Amino acid sequence: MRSLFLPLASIPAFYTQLAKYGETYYPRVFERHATYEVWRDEEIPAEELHQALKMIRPVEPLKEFFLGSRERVASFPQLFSKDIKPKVIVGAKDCDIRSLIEIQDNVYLKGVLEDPFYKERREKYLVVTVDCPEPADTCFCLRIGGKPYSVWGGDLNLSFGEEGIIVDVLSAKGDEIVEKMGDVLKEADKKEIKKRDKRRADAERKLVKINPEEFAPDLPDRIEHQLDTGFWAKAMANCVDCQACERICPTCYCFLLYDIPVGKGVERIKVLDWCYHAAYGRVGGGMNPLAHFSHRLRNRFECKFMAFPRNFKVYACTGCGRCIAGCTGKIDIRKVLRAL
Amino acid sequence: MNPYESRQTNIKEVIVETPTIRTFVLEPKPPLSFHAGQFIELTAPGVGEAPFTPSSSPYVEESMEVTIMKVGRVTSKLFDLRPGDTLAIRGPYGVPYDIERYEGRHVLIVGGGVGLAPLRSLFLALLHNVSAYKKIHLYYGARTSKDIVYDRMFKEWGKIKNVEIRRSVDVGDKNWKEKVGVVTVLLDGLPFKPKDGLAVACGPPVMMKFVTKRLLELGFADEDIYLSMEKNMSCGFGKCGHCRLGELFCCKDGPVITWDRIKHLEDAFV
Repeated sequence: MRSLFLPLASIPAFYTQLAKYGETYYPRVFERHATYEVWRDEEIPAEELHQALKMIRPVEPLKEFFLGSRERVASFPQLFSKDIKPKVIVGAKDCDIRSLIEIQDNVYLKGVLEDPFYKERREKYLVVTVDCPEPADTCFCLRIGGKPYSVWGGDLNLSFGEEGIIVDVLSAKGDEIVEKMGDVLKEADKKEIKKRDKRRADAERKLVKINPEEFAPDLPDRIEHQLDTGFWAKAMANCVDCQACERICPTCYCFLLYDIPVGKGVERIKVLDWCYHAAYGRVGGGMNPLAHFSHRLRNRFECKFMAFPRNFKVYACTGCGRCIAGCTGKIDIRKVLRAL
Repeated sequence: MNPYESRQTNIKEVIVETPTIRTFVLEPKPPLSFHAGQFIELTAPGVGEAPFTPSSSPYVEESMEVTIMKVGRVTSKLFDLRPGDTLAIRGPYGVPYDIERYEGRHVLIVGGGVGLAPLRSLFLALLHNVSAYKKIHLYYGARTSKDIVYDRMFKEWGKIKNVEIRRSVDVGDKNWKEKVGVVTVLLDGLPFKPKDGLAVACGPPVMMKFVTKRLLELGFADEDIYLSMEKNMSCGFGKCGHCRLGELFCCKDGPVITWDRIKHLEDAFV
């Protein structure tokens, strides 16, 4: 793996170089959170950009770039085409890149058919992952197979040394981009890499402190056998059905297709769907296996922690903690999993 | 290839089966070939899609029959359509019946209500090579004699050597000379040993639950009970999540799933 060095003062120039590849999104602090913004060559102090990179995962899950919350996927009989342009996304943490590679790729690129639009975006978009040196109380990546830093999956990874940022080249596409960056990037020295490694170890220690307990290794079986609706009703007693947890989850993948008449034809729209919706399981004639809310609560856990690991050997959860941070009822998914 | 795209198809004929069930004869061009057990997504123009399993023989390529019960938004719109109108279709999806496993064995087909529609496709596929099986037993239950689908065909099917037919209605009437009772009554006095055969069932969830229970009591092996688990199949190819049943997706792992694969799920028939 090739490692380069980005002086802090050159972060704006780095973004400008990335923007030559495609529309570039970078993390910006809004109130107390990082959110993605489009880079427009604005004069933003490098230190502000640096601080935003160090924040935990942005509010928006990475999947939003790859699976639009609402997109046109077909029209007929009129011809249909879609123009997907390259983009660069800077700021994804390990929890988010894993949500693409280990969860969304398994759903959308494998199996009997692949989603051609997701595939094209995966091919065209460049993802620049960033280390997560300061995990928050809601983070639990380490307890669910992740790390507070990313060494694979993206095209480039940014990590934090003493004087600046280390840029690890993780893919051929990433290599091609850095080749064109001229003197924005320097050679990384060992001292900086050593400092980075220490920060990574510190972040892991912090995560262990936040999450001292491991999850039970047999979560799939525990969920399969937890059919008592009373358990789910109690565990989720404060749930107000706002569905925030599902809407910001990087691993939820469900969608709904619906048609709208356009002229003499039809346009087919794909929208992301949420299994907490009362109508999620409803079939023609009105029967609904998930009619009761406690069934839907269980369904979410069954999907993430039973079905997905049995099919793909990985939980459909990356420990990003968005569902904890976003919950109106202050429900902590870690506590529900430990109570099983 | 865009898997979300449907293609238009002409409606050649609409056959009224019962007051709420019709068979649509479609002419997809080019023909849409399928195997028994697979399903398609039909689009009611401007309203949306719903999954259906063709009811015609997979060996007939020039047209496809789909028997539909009017129950909701999409099917109500389909019932407004007439011969010559167009609708849209995509598929086929799902795993076909592994009928090579049926050879040399008794095949028991148990249908309830409009659940006979997908089984008819299997039945016709088996008839294509009828001597390959010990015997085909077609058992069918409907609510009343007026709710029987394919009534016109049963007489012909009954004449076929190697085919046994039994029918029941939940509520009899003075003209009904066959069995009265829910479909499981037809399983009494089974004319073959369960270990020499297999069973295929399709119908409403409650019927499937009790048929499965009865088949197990009779001694059918878990892997010899084939069930049509047609949940809310939307995309058809295992992406949209709606038809998940435990760790399976009815659309890509089914819709026909053997009991051994879902018996660990206590809520399989919910």
